[in-house]
Amino acid sequence: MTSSLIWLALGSIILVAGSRWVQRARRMFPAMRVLGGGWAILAFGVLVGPGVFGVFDGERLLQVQPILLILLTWAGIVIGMQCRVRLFRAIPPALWRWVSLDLCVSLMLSVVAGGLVARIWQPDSPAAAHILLTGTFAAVAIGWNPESRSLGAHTDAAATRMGVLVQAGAGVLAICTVVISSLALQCAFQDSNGNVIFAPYGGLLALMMEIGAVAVVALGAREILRDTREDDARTTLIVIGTLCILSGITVLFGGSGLLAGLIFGASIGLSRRRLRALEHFISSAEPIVASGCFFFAGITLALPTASFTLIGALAVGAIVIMLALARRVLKPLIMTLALARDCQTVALDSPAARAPVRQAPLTIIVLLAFAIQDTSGLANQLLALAVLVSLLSVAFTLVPRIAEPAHLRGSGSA
Amino acid sequence: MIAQARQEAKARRRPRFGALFLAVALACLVGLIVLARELHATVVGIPTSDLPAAGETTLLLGLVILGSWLAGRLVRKIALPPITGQLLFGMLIGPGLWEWLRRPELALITPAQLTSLHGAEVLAVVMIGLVAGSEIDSSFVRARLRAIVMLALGQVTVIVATVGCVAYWFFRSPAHAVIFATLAATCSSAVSVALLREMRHPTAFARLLLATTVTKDLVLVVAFSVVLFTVATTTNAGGHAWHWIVLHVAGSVGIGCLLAIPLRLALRQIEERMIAVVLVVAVLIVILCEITDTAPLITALTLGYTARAIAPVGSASFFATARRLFLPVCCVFFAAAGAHIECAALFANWGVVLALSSSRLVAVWIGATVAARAAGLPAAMQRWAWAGFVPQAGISLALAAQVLIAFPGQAWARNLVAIMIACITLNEVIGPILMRIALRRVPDSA
Repeated sequence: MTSSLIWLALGSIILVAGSRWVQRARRMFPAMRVLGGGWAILAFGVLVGPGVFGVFDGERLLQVQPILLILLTWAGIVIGMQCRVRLFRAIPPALWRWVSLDLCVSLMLSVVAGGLVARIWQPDSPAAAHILLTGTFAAVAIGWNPESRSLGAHTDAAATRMGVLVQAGAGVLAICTVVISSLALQCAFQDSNGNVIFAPYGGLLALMMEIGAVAVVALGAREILRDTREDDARTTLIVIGTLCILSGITVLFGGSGLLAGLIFGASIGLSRRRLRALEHFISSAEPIVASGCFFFAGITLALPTASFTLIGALAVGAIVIMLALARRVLKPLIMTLALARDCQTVALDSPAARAPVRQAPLTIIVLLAFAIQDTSGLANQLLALAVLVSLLSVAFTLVPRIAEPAHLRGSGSA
Repeated sequence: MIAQARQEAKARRRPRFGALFLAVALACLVGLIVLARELHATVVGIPTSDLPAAGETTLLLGLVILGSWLAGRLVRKIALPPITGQLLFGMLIGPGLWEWLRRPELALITPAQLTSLHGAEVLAVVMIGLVAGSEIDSSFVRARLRAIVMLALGQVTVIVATVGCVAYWFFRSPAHAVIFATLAATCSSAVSVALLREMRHPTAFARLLLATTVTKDLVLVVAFSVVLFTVATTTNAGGHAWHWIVLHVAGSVGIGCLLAIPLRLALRQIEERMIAVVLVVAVLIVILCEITDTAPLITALTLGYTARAIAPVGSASFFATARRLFLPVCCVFFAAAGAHIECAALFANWGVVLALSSSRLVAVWIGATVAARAAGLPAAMQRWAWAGFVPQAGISLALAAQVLIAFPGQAWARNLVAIMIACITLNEVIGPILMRIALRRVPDSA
């Protein structure tokens, strides 16, 4: 009875959250626009999760896990659908420079940070733990939030171009994040005894099998969708059925639903014939998928055990501040270096230029995929760290004067 | 411009999939699942997931949705309704058939896994109820009220009398015969609405069949409860039935009507992400029915009907989305129904099942034809009305299950239910075929 009432209350809250009242209320608070609705849902997830009120734990969490798997795969499809030859051809060299530089610097820092944290946390940790942590840090470091409208209006063509570059760069880096983190997860995983092991052959074999299965499903789904002539009901059926199959196969091979979804999405995106009904259906559900993932992230995250003592809490706080500060310092620097040649056509002092400081929301989803695979609870703690870094990076965007390059200072008050 | 026009014309000319393609696709899908499971079980050293149960549930759901849809399309090539294909696919992957053939290891869904699909099945029942309720037009019901009442009354009377006599001959107990005969009078709203949705423009005949089925089933749920209550009190078998009557019927209808008001208010405030709204509402109905011990199908039916009646414009987008989700819902519902079919019970009592089902078929034919004539329906409808009332599915199975609840631990109840389920299974398979023929034979002008 209590369980049913909880579900009932949860359903009612979801309905109210989607209503015009809540949307009107959100518009009243400018800070909410910058933060995005996802954070409120994440906070709700934390409240109902096992850490606070404990509404979702044990049996109830088991009941909704299939939904979580489907949501992760769906998120992967949305990212994968950005793989379009036409879009890639349209990317200017400046953006390729920016993206490559960001990827290289983030990866190098991730390797260093992963190694350092593994050594400090568990001095005798195996190489597998390094790889897993590197994957996690890479997910935190690579890319940025694609949304820039909330930071300020695009006043001229150069500012608009900056906004477009921010959005396109975030899209490309999202694909890189999913691929890198999924490979790390596939090669370094926990065995049945809970030990983290590094098994590249087993992992890659599983990955190949997963890719093969996904390719077969994608091919079949695409062929069938060609025949359905944009029929809404059949498109819905194929999408739901395919999502379920992909999620299930991913679990069988111990992989990430994000990667399976990405491969499927890429097969749609790279297809010569556009499947508009399918693309519209998948992208229209994007806010629901993001909200669902954030809700589950709230339930799944766990504060690092170290933070339960004063010194531990200070250490965790220091790590979070350092990571967020690193973003605040490095991201604008990377942008300035990469786009220095194009400063005539791209407004480096526009509000959109501050967007890369904010951590990509995808990070939370990638770490959620880690957390559901991990039985030790380490990934849940890393997810909490990523959430804190993300929030702090948003705060740093709102306070523009901290460690900001000279060209951005002029627009701070704009 | 010209190239685009040519491309569109080419796309229009492209032939629809042939039976071979559909069969290969279905075989590939099943093969993929079998191969993936086999590789997972045999290859050593690959990563394992922490969510095997959730993964298995999603995999099965995907198999059921895509597989039954393909099977439905495949049987359409031989002029059978897709529901038949969906049922047969469910039967093929379910445990019942393979257990009867003494090869349970070949079943793709084990009995335990079938239980994990229960949530999806109940959700499907609610969605079917919502769509069925919204398909019933109140003005149509008012205009055809006489025909609906006469068809329902005529059939119930003839079926209860005829099947009751045959059942008495087999069971030698008036109580068991009445229980069986009342259940035999029920039809399937799910099949009716699925076939109605299959038609691009539902004919007046299809709408009449649906309205009559819903009305008849509502009355029969009450009647069945009264019968169970009476038998239970006369045999002192249990006191659950009275409680069940009140809650299942009055409660279901009452909750359905009451829910229409908050739904109308909510739909005024929500205009986007309707898929999420429909799913949340369906889940809420399932939970409410679980709390109050009411029937999800009746509640959803009433809600669908009331919401459409009080806010035809406001609820249009909601029901359009529900109809969009109807195809996957039907695939899950009918494939799961097929997977539940107990071939052992069907073949163990084949003589009794055949006799009882034949008598039901004859009674449906006589009852519907006589009632259609008395109601003054057009000649084509008089000739084919009976075929629309043969299918049985969800509601009949739910009522059969109530016998076990009302008479726990009674051997006769278990035997009776086994025969009931076997008869429902038979009607479940042949019913949609007959109904589809009827819908094709009666033109809209009739």
